[in-house]
Amino acid sequence: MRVLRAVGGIFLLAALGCSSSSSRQVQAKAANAIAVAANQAASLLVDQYRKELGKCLAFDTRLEFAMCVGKVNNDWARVRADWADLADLQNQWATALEKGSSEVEVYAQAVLKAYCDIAPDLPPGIALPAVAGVVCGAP
Amino acid sequence: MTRQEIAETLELFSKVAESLGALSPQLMPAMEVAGALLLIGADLEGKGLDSIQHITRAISLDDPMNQAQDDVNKEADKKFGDKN
Repeated sequence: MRVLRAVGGIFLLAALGCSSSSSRQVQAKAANAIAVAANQAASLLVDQYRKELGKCLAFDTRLEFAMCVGKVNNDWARVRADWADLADLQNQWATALEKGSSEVEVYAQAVLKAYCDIAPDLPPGIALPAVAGVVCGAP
Repeated sequence: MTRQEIAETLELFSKVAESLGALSPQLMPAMEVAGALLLIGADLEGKGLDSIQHITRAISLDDPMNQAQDDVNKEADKKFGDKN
């Protein structure tokens, strides 16, 4: 079943590419796409964070190591806070979907904004995956 | 794409995936989520939001990042010992 679920992701992108006449559905689809991208990005971000921490092991003393780790954590603090906001909104969006709430679109828009808010806070050289249909900074 | 078509396609690709061996454990959570979202997408296309049954939840960064820090700290303990 795990494998069955895994390959499902391949087709999700195709499903998301379909047009819809409903603004509500478009918003929900965009939020879907962000949920996928964010959950894929999570592994990438953790890997990058681990690499940055690993570089601190090159120092010769524990003090230098600790200072390096402190700097890395400082660099990532905003991202972690942004991510917590995104995760919270994603969960609220998911709850709204499950309940058939009229607030689905509101949460979907909030998810879009939260995803876009992460990018400026990422450490240099790190980027989130592009999401089809989502343009950060668009009016 | 109907549910039946999705089921048939997933079944086909599950056989392909099995033939390729196990996927990376790190990828599995995200891909499971993606698989669940596929069903949402199908519902969105076919029946609208009211029929959605399978919803994903976000993946936290905190646990894996804390684990990464613990791992690096252990490496540091090996390198520097107990000296401060």
